[in-house]
Amino acid sequence: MSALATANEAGVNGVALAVLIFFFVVVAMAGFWAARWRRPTSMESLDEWGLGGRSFGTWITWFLLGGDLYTAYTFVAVPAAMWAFGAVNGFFAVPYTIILYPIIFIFMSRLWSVSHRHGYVTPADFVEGRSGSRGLSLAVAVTGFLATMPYIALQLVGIQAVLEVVGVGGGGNWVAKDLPLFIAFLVLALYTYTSGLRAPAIIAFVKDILIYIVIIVAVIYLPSKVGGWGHVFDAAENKMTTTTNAATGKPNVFIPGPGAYWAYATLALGSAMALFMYPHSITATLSAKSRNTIRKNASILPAYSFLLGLLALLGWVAIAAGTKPVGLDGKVNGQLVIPQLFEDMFPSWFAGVAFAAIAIGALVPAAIMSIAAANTFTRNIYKAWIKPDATTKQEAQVSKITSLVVKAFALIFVLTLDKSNAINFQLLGGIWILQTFPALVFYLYTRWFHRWALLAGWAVGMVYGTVAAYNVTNQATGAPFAGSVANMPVIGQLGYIAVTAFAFNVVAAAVLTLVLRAVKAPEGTDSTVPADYFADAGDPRVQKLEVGPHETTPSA
Amino acid sequence: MSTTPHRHSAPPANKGLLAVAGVLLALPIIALLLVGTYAKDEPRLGGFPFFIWYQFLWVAITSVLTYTAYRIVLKARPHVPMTPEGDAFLDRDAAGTTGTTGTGDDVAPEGDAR
Repeated sequence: MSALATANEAGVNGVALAVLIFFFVVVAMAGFWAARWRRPTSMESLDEWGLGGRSFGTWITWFLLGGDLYTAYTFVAVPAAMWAFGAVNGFFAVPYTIILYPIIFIFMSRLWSVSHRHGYVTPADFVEGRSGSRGLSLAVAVTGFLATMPYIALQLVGIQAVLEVVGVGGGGNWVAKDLPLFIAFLVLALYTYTSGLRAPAIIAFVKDILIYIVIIVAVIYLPSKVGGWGHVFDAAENKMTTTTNAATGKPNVFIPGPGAYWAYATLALGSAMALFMYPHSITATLSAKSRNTIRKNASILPAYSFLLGLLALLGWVAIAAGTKPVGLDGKVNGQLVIPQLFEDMFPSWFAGVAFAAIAIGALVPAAIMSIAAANTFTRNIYKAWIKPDATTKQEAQVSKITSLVVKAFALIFVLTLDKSNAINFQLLGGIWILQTFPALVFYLYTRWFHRWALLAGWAVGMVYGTVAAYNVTNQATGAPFAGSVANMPVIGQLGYIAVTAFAFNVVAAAVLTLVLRAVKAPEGTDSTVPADYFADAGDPRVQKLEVGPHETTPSA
Repeated sequence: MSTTPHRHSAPPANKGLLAVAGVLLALPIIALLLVGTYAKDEPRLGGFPFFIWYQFLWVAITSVLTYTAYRIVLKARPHVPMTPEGDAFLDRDAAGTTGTTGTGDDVAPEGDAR
């Protein structure tokens, strides 16, 4: 296989492409069939279309969350960062996805309970109910929507990387270049439209099983082909200590030195706190059928973190293997390093399986993210501001159409603009989404913070984070948004911008709360009661008139 | 909210056990944020630098700790039925003696565990 050194010389890899298409067809059929799975009487409500009937048990939730959080872009970008820049840029994903679970263990059950009682579908729903502030709810909704959009676009980048290595998508004209991606997304859009969250829930089974097989085979087979793990780490150390990151002008990193401790720790912590602020993470959590499903999942989801760590190391295996990720345009593109490694080292048919795993890995999160973004638009913009008397049926219809629009927008974004726009925007999205943490998580425990102070704190964090990220300049090209770490005030070390912005956010919210209390600014109405935060499946729901269409009596 | 002895705004909990669960959950966060304690090459294990295998080890440890915390939390705050109005929880005594209607299906705390 190594004779086929690079894809652009080898042309189209027919066997791999056939395997890829086979899995894509299987998954598409499963996606359409999903509408009949655990079939409700009617799909015409957000509870059914957007949350799968709020009925998923431990194992479905495990596959769904795993498929949702560990995206194709992660699978492409993390090893690419390891390959190009080393541990601080890439391996922080491991501590990030470890400390993630104790953090969500603590607060997600409360969010599940209060959402179950009040029929909340999005994080902004809860914030509005708790704070009585439409403005704060809108801020949370818009932030979530904006942060999710580039994330969907980047899933396409994952599929593109695979197609490019297989040898498809390099033609000069539009049809040959973009048609495969267009078809893939069209099919995805159609089965998401008909099946809602049930589609990614079913497909996640296929995706996760394929990914597990591929990674386990890869980490056992590949190092032995390149001289063992010891040699892999020596090769990585050699590359990392002798090269510099052109964008930052700093040396690359094999193992972080003292100057990078804060950066590594804040990247892990900030990313972990931010991940479950994204609407798509909340969607997958709220679709669980009981309060403790998410807690039980917190102890079994680290299996994916283990997998992600192994995958990150494949970036270093590629260094030892001398992989040359050259795109069809003849330029080096780090994003291609994992697909290229697979194509070089595996037999064609297994490379096809690996490509299918990555491509399907893009479809699951893209579906859930577009559902979550659509639900956010429907509940917190359409229903909250445009048509307050919308029925549950109208809500579902608006959401289905929005999910199509969102995916069309992502496709146009990726096809017409330079990829770096999507990557910059996603970097910003990560900084922005963390600024909704106080409104969402603090409110689960206390109403001490004043609603206007939380809104002001959010604005402070958003502005600071955006400006700080803009000011990170690429040393080689002079372009802004060259990275997500910057000097932290007071501490004086490099740190994740999102965490610094979050600190300013909280301080501003606390100080303004004291001021607003002193001037006796009006408090909003809290539509929740303390008991809401402990309710479990089977407890009476608050909105007894809005029972699901499949129920003839209120669920009490 | 909890005006009568048998009505509670939250299910009665064993605070000590909840604190233990909190400590178990805090351990991995603290350990992994102290990057200086593990950012080193030696000792290697099967060719893997300490920095790498130590963090992999924490994947397994965290899984055990969160599962333990899960079992503890279930024990510390077992679910009790709500009042039919859904504004308070009844303790086991009250639920047993009044023979609640409607909310009687006290789901097992591990309702999703098959």
